[in-house]
Formats: sequence, C-alpha cells, structure tokens
Amino acid sequence: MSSEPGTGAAAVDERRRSLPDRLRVDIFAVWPVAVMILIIVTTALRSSRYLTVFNFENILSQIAPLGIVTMGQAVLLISGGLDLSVGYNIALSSIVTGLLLEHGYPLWLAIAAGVGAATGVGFCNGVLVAQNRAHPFIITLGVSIFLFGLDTQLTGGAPVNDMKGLYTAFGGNLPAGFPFFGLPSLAIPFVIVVLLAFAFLRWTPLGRRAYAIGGNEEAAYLSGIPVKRTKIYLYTIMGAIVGLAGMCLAGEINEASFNLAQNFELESIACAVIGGTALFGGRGGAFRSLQGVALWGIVLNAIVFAGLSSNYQQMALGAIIVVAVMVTRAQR
Amino acid sequence: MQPENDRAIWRIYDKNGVKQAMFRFVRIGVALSVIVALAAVASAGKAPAQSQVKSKGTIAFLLSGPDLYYQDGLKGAEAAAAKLGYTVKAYPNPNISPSVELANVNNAIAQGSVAIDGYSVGLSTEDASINAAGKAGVPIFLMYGYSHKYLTKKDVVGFEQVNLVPYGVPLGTYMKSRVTGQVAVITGQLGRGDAEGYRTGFLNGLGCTGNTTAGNPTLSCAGGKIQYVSTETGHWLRPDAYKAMQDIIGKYPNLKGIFVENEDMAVGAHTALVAAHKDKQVFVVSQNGAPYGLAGVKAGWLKATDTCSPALEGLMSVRLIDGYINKSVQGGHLYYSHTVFVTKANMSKAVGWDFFNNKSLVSKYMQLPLVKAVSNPPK
Repeated sequence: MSSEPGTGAAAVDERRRSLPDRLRVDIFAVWPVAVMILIIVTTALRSSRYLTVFNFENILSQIAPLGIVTMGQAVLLISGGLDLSVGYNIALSSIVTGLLLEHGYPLWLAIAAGVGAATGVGFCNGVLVAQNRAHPFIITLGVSIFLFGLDTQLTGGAPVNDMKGLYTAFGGNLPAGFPFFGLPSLAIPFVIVVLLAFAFLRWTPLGRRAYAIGGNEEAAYLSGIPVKRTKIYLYTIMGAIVGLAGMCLAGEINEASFNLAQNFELESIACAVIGGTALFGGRGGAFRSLQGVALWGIVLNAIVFAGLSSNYQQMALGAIIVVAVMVTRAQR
Repeated sequence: MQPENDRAIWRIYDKNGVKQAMFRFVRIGVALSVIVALAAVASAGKAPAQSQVKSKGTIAFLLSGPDLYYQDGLKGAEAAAAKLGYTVKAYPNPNISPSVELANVNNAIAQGSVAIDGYSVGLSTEDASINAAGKAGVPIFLMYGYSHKYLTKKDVVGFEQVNLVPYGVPLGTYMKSRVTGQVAVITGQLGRGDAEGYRTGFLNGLGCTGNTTAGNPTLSCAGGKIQYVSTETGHWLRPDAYKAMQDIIGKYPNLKGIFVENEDMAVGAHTALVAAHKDKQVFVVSQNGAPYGLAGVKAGWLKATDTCSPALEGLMSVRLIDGYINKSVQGGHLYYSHTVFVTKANMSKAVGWDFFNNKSLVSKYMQLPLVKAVSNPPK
C-alpha cells in the first residue's frame, strides 16, 4: 500500500505531489484489491456456495504456503535479486524432514534439519550471487537444477507418505481452545511471516538496505552499504523462509516429494509483481505482495466456481500478470 | 571508501592482494572438485556395463521423468533383462523434454543399443523417436502413447499400455452400487487422451447418460440416483489434487463420491477430505496399485482401485523385445497391460510395483505367458 516504503527519492516526490496525483498513485497501488472485490461480487452472484466461511478457509489454506514464499521472494526482488530455486528447495527441506521422521528421529530434529538444509541452500545462493557478476537468474536456476537431481536421488522418485507430527500441526484447522479456532493452521505461520516481512522491510537496517541496493546497487555501494554481505543475508533469510514453507506444505499435504512445490518459483515472483513489487528492484512491499497472492488464490477459486476448466485458470493468471506489469509501468 | 563495505565479512583476505589470490585458489579448487565428481559419476555409470562380459547387448531405456511409476518400470525391465542376458542402460529425461528424448534416442543408437524400450514424453515426440530408431534399424518398444499409425513403421516392436476406457469401468460400476448423490472426478492432465479415456470408462461404469466421451458435467447417472457434477484437474500431482479436492468440496459440500485418476492424487484428495472432516462422507476410488494406494485400500479410506504394475509392464516389454530379436514375436502390435481390480477383500491379487526385489516373484512373472497382441487395435 502507499504506507510502505519506496526509495528515498520516491518518498520525497510523494510529498510534492498534488492531491489528484496522489489519488492516482493510490488507485494504481490497490488495483488488485479492486479486481478481487469485483471477482468476489461477480462469483457470489453466480453461486450461492461461494460466500461461505468454508470456501474462504480453503482459499486461505491454498495460498498460505505460496504466500510465505512470496514474502521472501518480494524481499529479494526489492533488492534486485530473485530466487528460482525455491520450488526444489522447498522439496529438499520436506524430503530431509520426511526421511528423518521415517527413520524415527524426533520431530524437532527433523524440522531443524529440514529448515537448516533450506537455509544452507539460501546461504550458498547468497554467496554465489554476491561473489559473481552473473545475474541471480542464472545462478539460482543452476542451483534449482542441482536440487532437482538431489531431491530425486534422495527419494528415488517415491514420495515420503507420512509427515507424522508435522501433519498434526498443519494438516487441518486450528482446534478448539486456540485463538482463531477453525481457521486453517497454515494461516498462523502465513500471517506471522507477512507481519515479519513488513516489519523487516520497514524498520530494520537490512530491510532498508534491500531497497537501496535494488534502487541503485552502485550508488548503494558508494554510500557505504555492504552490498555483498547484505545479499548473503537476504538470500539466507530467503532460505529459512523457504524451509518454513516446506514444513507447512509437507505438513498440509502429508507428503514429502521432489514435486511438492512445482512452479512455486515462478508463481511467487508473479504474485509479488502482481502486487506491485518491481521486477528489477527498489520498490514493493509485504502488503503489496500479499494483495498479489490473495488475487492469485481468488482467481483460481472463482474459475472453479464458474465451472470453467483449469485451462482458463492459466489464461486468467497470465492475463493478470500482463496487466500487472502494464500497471506497474504506468505507475512509474 | 571502497574497502569499508564488505571488509567485515571478508577481512581474512583483505591484505595486499591476498584476497584476489585466495579467491583464485578457491575457484580453481571448486572447479577441480566438480571435474573429479563428474569423473567419479561417469566411471560409476560405466562399471556395470564393463562387468557384463557375456551380455547379448544393451537395451536403451527411455526414462521420461523421475516418478516412481517410471523408475519401477525400469527396474522391472532390468529384472527381465538380467534373466535374458541383456543389460539395460537408462537414458533419463527428468524434465520430460522432447528434445532430450530425441537426443537420448540418437545417443542410444550411436552407442550400439540392440533395442530401445521405455516411455516417450508425448505423442508428437514419439514420432521423431520412432523415425530415428527405424532409420537406424534399431527395434523400439514404447509403453503408453499408442497410436495406430505407428504400428506399420519399420522396427516398431509395439506398444504396451492399459486399455484406457475399460480400465475405468469397474471403478464406476463399483461406485454405482454404493453411492447415491453427487459424484466428481479429479483427472490427470487433460489433452493427452489417457485422462479423458479413464474418465469416460468411469462414467460408463457409473451408468451416465449423455456424452461420456466429452465428459462435461453435469450428467445424470445410474437412472438419476447419481449426478456427475464436476471435473477438476490435479495434473497427476498430489498437491494439485489436494487443492482440486478443496475446490470441489467447497462448491459441492454434499459430494458423495470421487474418482481420482491416480493414487498419488488420491492421497492428496483424501488428505483434503480429512482436513474438511468429509472423509467419512465421500467414497473414494482410484487406479494404479501403487504401494501408497494399496496402503489406502488396506486402511479403508480408498474403497477400490484398478491396479497395474509398471514393473510387470517393464518386464513384459523386455520379453517382447527379446522375442522380436529372436524372431519369435512379430512387430507392429498393441499389447494391453495386466490389470486387476481390487478392494480390501482381494488385495493380495494385485501385482506389486516392487516385485523385482523378490527373485522368486521375478521368476514367476518371467514364466507367465507373454501378453497377447490386441487383435483389432483401435484406430
């Protein structure tokens, strides 16, 4: 939203703008919300089953793992980076956890190892991106292909079918006695990650550095920002977020496999961009990206209620991405 | 100014050019490690071939994807090949890429394979693969992807796959006598023909009236006792089927039955039903007979499944190739896979996916009569 930080120059420009200009900016910023409302109203008029708590719980549980990854991806995009290895890194974290659970290791150790493995991959991504002039696109693509082979080798193509305590935690709704009783369990880590991402970008030095590096890396370097170190930190944080998403997704589906999170890398980038996070850095935020994720989930669900085939889902999502890029360009 | 930025993290190297030298050293070290690792992998891959001195030749196996189905198909082929005196070399295609498949076929030919076996990634790709094999005079046998036009091509041994529509029929018939109300389908990937074929068979078994080939909901079935209300796509994947099940149950909260086109997706659908507290309400049937599917039948949540062992398909494919090479089997035929419809009552009749770990079972299936060619293959 408009309350989220942009570059320093953009903030100054914001104060100088006239009221009509400011309103125009706000319309650009909240267009996903407007589209969401339109879709919800239209679908509700067509189907009496649409506006139910159960259906919106479904949407929430469907977008939660993707939303968690999108928060990390948004931070990287703001810093001018991206991570194409998230899909198979999620799979790696789930596989490590699943295999340890299968061999009787305690839950805490299995989770620590799974999240640790994903964080380690994030650290490696950070070091490789920071130390090379190659674009993170190709670096993380290479890591993704490596992880695909590793995931398949670890499992032999077969899924791990019982995530034990992880399924108990994330495989349903919050039980009676818990706050927000009845909501999908995945909502809790999702909301926490969104709030943390917002606070991180707004109030921490590392978050502010991400904007500075994404806005102009050379200028950031010359002003004394430790660019390489910041990138390593950001990719490592991304790895930890991916590990958490892996736990959530594996717990929800009760499975660990190499194809657990297929397409998450591109979907998370798309969601962040739909929400208004700039593809090449410097602008964006956690709540903006949240709008993108919510729109994504609502469109997919609405097309099911419209009785259209999944091919239309792909067509609609593709169109939304194109519109999002055009709106972002117009906003500039 | 410049050294201030990243000095803290890299200060160990930050003296008089030592940093540059150290990085160069590290890079050379990494590069050498990668080369050594690749060499080790390559030599490990060659070892079995060198140890098979009296092999009748190498059968190339196109492994189109890392899924368990294909992996077990390969292991079934290896088990048969070991008995018949061949070696099997797998040509992996983990990203299911048409260009990689053609490259694999050409590499297999260049490396002197006596035959090509396995799975093609799609109908368009197998045309190129079959043509390349035929041009080189190398017999080729494919599991799935049957098209009548290929049966007359040179050196096509044949195709083996389940009979798509009849495979789904017993599942529909079984559900028809046990369910009243709304029924839905979670398909694999529509557009290749197999997913549509399974659904048509299921709807026919369910006694639906109307165009069951198109399969568009809604249809009235079993004399109006059942309504087929929805088809959603699970892309053959468990997580996608989980979401599809959520969507279906959100739209049709009184759903009574679901046909899921493989058990990996069925596990995802069942997990979603449990999360929605609808698992007791919805009658689930599926197909394939994977280990986790049979576990579902045993546990009771999966009411029935039509089973087909990829390992047995792989074993039969090598036996048919051997027969073609020995001229005891004619080329250009379609073969239907061995399938068994199972419920909790007759689970032991299913052919396991992993029988290749048991020598006596391998011997048993090697002694089965060869599958018979379909006399009038569909055009």
